Amino acid sequence: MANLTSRIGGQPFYSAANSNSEGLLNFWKGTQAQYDALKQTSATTASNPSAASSVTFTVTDSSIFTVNDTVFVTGTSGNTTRTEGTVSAVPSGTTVTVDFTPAYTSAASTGYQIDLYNPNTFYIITA
Amino acid sequence: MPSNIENANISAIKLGTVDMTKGYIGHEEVYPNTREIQSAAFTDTSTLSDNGGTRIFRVTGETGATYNLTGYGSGSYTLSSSPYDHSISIGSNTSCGGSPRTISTTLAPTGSTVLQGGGSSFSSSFTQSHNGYVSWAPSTITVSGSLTHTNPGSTITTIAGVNYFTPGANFTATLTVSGYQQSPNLSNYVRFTQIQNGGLGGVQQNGTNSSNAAETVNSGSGVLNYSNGSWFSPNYPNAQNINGSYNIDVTLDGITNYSSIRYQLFFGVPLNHNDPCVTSWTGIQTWTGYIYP
Repeated sequence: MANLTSRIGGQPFYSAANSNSEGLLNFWKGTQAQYDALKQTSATTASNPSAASSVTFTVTDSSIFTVNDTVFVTGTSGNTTRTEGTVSAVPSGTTVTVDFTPAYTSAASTGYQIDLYNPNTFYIITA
Repeated sequence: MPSNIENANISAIKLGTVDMTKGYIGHEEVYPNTREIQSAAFTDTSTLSDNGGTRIFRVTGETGATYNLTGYGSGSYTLSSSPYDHSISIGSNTSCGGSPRTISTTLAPTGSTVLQGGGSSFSSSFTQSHNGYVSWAPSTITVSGSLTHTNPGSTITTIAGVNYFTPGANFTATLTVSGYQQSPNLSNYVRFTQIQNGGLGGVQQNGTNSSNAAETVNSGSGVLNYSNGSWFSPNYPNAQNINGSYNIDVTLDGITNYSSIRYQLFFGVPLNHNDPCVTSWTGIQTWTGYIYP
């Protein structure tokens, strides 16, 4: 049998939100440590974001982020709503710039989590 | 968000021969059905002062875990982030006659939450000291003394065969106070407003009894500061020990003769004090015995 050389997507599912069967659930397999590595915690900002369309976060390691990645930002104080954004730049090894539409506001400059957990992906953790 | 097949939890999933230990949809854990709490304890279990304060009860586990706290910080909670710190306020422990107490909080999982190790609860506690105050009542003060007529002769008159002290009679009263005690709680004295010159009194020539004869106070001395017929102690917390000896020199004034006379040695009115555990604090009045001319 020939090797699978191209991937064409995950498992289709019916999307109640869209009333069609065009939803696609992707699969990801890895260890807990690999899953945990898809996020950066305790991120900080230079000041409290106020109606900011673009926010630069300081993180421990920005290497997991790539321009155009969809990321989710969640504050532990201030704005604690999980908010979607797009990586617009990775200026350094410890900073990442995220664009928000609509603009982002939070009354905190510390305690952010920035993750890459895709809500349409089933992450399978094995030992 | 638990994963079920019909109404049954999915108890195990394998990927080929490999166990799937967890599953997430995005950031939300969907397998297994349980949330685990790894630990729950006070971050500081040293003895808390009697004045009270705030301690942190820290819960570490998987977000979404649910649990009840009983004891201090009681309530039902969902772990929103980990670790999560419950800030628990503990009041003062200063009740009269109280003792050190144990401050305890117990976490019990609810719903599909389990504890690491498989137990049913996590408990953590520490001791809060007590201020050591005891309930007490100052003991009865003992006051003893006597009255001496110091200028007999011209100040004694006889009318119809009865001897009377006349105005101008001079007396010295001496008294000794004992049994006054310090507060066992504050190591200071509960204060009388003053130790007064209670004055001369007795049976008048007309046969009636007077507790307030006309008199002139000449001098006095004692273990407290003397002023115009009274002895004073500073207010709390500097009230002085009143145990000791006192004397006062007084002259009968007015126009009334007395067939017998006595002296009120001690007239103490209790004053407010700063010991919250005094159960009874009353004044005291003590007289000498009557003396006769």
